[in-house]
Amino acid sequence: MRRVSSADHPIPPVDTDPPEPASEGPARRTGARVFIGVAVLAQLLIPLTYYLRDDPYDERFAWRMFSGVRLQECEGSVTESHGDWEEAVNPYEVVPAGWVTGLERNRRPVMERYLALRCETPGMTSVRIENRCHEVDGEELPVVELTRDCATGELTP
Amino acid sequence: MSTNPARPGAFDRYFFGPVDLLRPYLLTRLLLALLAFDCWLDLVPHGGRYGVGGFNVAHFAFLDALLPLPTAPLYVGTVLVTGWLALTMALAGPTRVGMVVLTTLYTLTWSCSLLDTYQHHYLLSLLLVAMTCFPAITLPQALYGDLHTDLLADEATELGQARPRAPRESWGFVLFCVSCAIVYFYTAVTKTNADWRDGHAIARLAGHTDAARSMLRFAAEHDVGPGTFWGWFAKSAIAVQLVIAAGFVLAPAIDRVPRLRVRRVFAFWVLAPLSFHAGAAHMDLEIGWFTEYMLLVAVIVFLPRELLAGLLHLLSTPVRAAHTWLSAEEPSRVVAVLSALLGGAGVAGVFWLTDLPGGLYAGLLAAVMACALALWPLWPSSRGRGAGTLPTALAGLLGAGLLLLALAESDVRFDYYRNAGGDAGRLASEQHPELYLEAVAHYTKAKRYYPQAYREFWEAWDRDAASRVAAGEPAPDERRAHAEGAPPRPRDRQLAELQAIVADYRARGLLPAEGAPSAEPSPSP
Repeated sequence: MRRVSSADHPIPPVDTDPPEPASEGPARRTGARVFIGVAVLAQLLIPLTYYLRDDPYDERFAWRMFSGVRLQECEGSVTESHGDWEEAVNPYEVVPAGWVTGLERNRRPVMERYLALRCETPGMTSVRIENRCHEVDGEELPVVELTRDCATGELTP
Repeated sequence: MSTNPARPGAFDRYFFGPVDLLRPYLLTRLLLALLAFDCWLDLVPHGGRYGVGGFNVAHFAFLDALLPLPTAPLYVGTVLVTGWLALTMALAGPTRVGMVVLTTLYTLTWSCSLLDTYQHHYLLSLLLVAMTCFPAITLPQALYGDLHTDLLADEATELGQARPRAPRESWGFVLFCVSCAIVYFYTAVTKTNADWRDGHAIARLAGHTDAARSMLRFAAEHDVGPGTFWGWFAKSAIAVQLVIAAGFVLAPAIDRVPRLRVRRVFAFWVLAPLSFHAGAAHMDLEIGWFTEYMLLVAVIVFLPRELLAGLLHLLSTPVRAAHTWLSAEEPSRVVAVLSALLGGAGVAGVFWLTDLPGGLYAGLLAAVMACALALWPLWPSSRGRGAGTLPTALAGLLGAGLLLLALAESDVRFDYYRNAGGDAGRLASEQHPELYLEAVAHYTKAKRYYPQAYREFWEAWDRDAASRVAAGEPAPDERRAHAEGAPPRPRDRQLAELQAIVADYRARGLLPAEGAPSAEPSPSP
């Protein structure tokens, strides 16, 4: 074994560190500028896309912590139709509790996937999700509803 | 922006100006350490719900197409290895490649499923991207690399160290601060709607807490009604967040100001995030470890370097001692390779002991990473030396050991198995009887990891309740006790009920007899 440093020096000497490049080359600096520009611009613009989306419940990446939408209180129900009869279904008995929270928060991709999953059940003709929500000040909101026709895969509304 | 190196524009001056390297150094160590324990203690307990019934929706449609279904073993294993990698790099020092892998793994843990929609998880991915762009910083550079004073550098020379080089840029750190500023800015701006300004939202969030009740009492004594109080409280939260955002934009530039008094005064900016997040900590906001992260970031970004350097000196004492001992002699290549391999095997062994799904896969992945990290200093292009192998191998082992300690000293495994047992039990039915077996298996493990202190708490509670009822008094309110922080009850009753169902199903032939191979689980309940 080769001795490289003295135990008297509790902190590794600086001059044993990897040599530092003298200065960043122009190409490297330009690359850094582009990276910073893209990163900052993306962080500034992505939250704004929330206001252009049709879905007010998809607040991801918008930094809308504790918004009025997030604090709405919703009660969901699921109804499954089998030809000429239908039944109310407890979604907690179909998917883990974490997904039911997503359904009750009107997360469109979760609702769509849930409906598609239930439509795979033999004999199922349609599945409907209904959420009744109240604003944070207690005002009742229009019912959020999504239905899938299992034969055609069509979603309404 | 000017590209003339002689006269840099405002963009270049801001992003490429000198940075006090102590701050990014501390971020890479402390934030990564916090991330490790966050992964293990806060994410693992919810891992059992991933992939149940084949149901999942990723954050991005292309991930649904690209990634396999995130099952409990895949998710928990990835979270375990992500935490281990973060802690190993916090102890041994991060590498660029290691940071890229860490950022990718961490981002996958939340983006693979809409089960995780915590906004601060996206924020952490952004901050990790910025941290990936930090330069390699040594301890002396962090401790003695003051931007304005040569005294500390002279002190380093007196200690037998070479004088640190001239202050360097760290545009990654500036980007880190700008990212924080953007988040605070948007969180403030999005609170300007009527729901928030009128105080309805904050009253709903915080109104039930003891802190809120005492503040409302104080306000009432000064003839301020709850509506007015919450309105002002909400508006003050917006103002404080804007102040914090401005502070993060200014922070990198303030370090460059020559006048010490200006820098000292600016340090008081830390009071804005401290007050905001300390207040948030008193509300049951269910925001994971967001408060802890942002308090740590604020302290590192705003506090004066003198305080931070003192703290770092203290914290790094054992690391410096270990480093001195381990790198006193450079090991031969054979010794370095052997120690890396042994370290990797040790890490895999420790992961195997976690008794969590995915532990084995995570252990193998961590072992490969441990070897790669430890052998990295021997790689010619890394410009390193074999002396770095032993500390890195030891850091990997220490990281794995701390993982095991965190699991042993927390409720993580109990929480994981009781949550997974609860989900399986709710989804089980005559059509999906195999889920009863899963629930029994999970609850059996939950029973194994149920903390003794919790059992004693509930035994005492039940004795007290029985004596009260016998004396004609009402039984104590268990729901209220849970709301006030009582531990969860053991799952013994649920386990017994499920075992009875399994026995019944076995007798009816719906489940195979004990010891017989179980049927393949159905894709969907």
